[in-house]
Amino acid sequence: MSILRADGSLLERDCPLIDDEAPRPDGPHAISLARWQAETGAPAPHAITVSNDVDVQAVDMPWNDLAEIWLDFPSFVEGQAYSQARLLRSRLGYDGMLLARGDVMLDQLYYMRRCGMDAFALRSDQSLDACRAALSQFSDAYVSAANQRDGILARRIA
Amino acid sequence: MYQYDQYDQTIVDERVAQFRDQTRRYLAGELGEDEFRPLRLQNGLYIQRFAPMLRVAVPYGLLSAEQLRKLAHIADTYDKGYGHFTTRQNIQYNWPKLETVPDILEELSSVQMHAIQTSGNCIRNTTSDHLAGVAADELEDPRPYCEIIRQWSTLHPEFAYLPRKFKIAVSAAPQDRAATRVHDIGLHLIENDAGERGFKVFVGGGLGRTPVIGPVIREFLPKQHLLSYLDAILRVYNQLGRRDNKYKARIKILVRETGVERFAELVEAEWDHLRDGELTLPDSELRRFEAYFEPPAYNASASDSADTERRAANDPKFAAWMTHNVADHKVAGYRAVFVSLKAPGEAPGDATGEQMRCVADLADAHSFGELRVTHDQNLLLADVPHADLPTVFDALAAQQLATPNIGSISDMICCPGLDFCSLANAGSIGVANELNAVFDDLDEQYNLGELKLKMSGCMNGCGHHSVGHIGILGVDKKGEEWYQLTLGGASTQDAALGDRLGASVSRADVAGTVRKLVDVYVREREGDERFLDTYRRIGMQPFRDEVYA
Repeated sequence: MSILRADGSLLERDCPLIDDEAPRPDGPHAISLARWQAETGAPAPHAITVSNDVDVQAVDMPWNDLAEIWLDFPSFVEGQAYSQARLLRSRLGYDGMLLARGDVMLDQLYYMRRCGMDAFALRSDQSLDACRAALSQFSDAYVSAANQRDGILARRIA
Repeated sequence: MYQYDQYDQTIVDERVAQFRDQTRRYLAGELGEDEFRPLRLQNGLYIQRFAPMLRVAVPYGLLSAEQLRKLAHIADTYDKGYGHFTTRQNIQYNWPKLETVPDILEELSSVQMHAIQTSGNCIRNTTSDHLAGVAADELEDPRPYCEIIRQWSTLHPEFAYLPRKFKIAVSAAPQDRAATRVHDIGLHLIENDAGERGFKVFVGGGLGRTPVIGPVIREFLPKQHLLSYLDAILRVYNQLGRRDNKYKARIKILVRETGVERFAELVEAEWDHLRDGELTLPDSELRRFEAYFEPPAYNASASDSADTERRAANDPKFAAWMTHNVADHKVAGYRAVFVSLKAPGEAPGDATGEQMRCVADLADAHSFGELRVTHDQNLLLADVPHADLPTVFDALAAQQLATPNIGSISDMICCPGLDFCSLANAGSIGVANELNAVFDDLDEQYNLGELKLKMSGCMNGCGHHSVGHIGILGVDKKGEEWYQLTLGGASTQDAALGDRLGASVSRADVAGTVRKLVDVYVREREGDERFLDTYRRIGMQPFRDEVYA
């Protein structure tokens, strides 16, 4: 599985997802949000997974201790994580990596990018080159991106 | 009307290029059926019973003559010479070839049109009052707000994969001509006690298999906060709306299961964060949008024409058309003219390429080059000088576009039904023809007055049967087409859902049953009561007694 970054490069790093019951290894790894919340006092992991039914605003944790947050698309039609991403970026001030995983395909990438996701664990049948192109499918947008006052609606007013 | 700037045009052009590539990948086998489905749907493309169906957006129903000519050209070039105008003020083509759809979209972009988000689980075309800008009872023109909503919702990155489709309607008059209470969001432009303008916000109305009249969640929203408040509603829905069952995925179910008050609290809590943010609309920006919808250059000295009155006195057909298809206008010497797409024997809402060109020419010559699509599936020339009415009538009559039946029983709303739609359980166009045969006497129709008959071929309710004065719903019973009738529905400011008459009737009995219902009305009515008024006064029983005796 390739992990495409917003700049078109590939993310090369080893960061296994550790089961809630399994011991945490020394190197970079990912655990569930629930485990991160439960293990108070333990060092923050490199990454956590957040399922798409979580109200991220109700989670009182130091998000910026995390290098990566993994957002979940169990099926591409389940779009809750678009809202989670926008909230993490624009309201909760998270400035680490937001990684989309699951049923992640070319045609969602542009929207994901606008919502603040900047790494994409692509479904295995996706063409890398086509996905790179898809990130900039539209040269402009009405609504601003998650962190950036750059939408047409805002620019016309400014 | 609104004119694209370079930003709008760029987005539509790039959307065409994107869909051209998606179609190429699908035809080359690089994109599976399941992956292509949401992509084509968000570009208005369905796969129907016989061919793809393409739904083209007509934002809030407003078209220029040039755009209508383009729609006629598409009908003639890529389809079988006609199109079908819908209850969402859009147009559908029933016979395009999949591989030509990118070319059709490119043709549309050349006249500032598109098919973006006309289907799929996203924010759909915003609809409005077909008399916007010319109705005497309106507070102000709602269309600038519709255009603002169109832009905000177009390719909104957060709301492209909602639990289910999402429809917004805006009205600015006490007489609700946009069926706002049966939309996911209904917006009423109002003035508060302090004289400020804003919106009363209804959420969670809808038709389909669980029809609901939308409740109010906010009595007054200052207009500059329109977009941030919509963002808040959509964000709550995107996170909490049900995705486990497509029949429970509309926002009306979320509102019902959460409770209206609690739902409103959730929206307000979200809006607290968003208000006064970058989506705030300063007065200068509102005025910029309003400027696109300035009234046309009416002739200040226009007045009603004696020649037109003389023609009406001497020509009963013209007089009937004047009475039924011509509406008052807020400017002296002008009228709004309905173009009836309900000629007997024709599928309601259908227009041929030739008819479209005729209307486009009339718009250019007599109505400042613009026209509207109504949610009753007719067209409207909104600004016709009274003196020009005879000319306009003659041209429309020559194209079978002047059937004097607006608002009457034969001006029925009807979905494409089993003849075209893969969802339908039963035919609707054929039943419409049978009803027209039973009520073929125009004088009788006039005697019956306003009678909104609405028919859907399945419970998805595209024909709005739940809010018909008489509603007809096609159902499947062991492979046979049966019809469930309802009485007393309304989509206007006194919105109500129709009540079930009783056991469904067979295809052969539909027209006869409607005949009996109408007979009860004629027998029981008092004064100038409409069918709806009589039903509300006397209730269901007399109708049941007549039909099931």
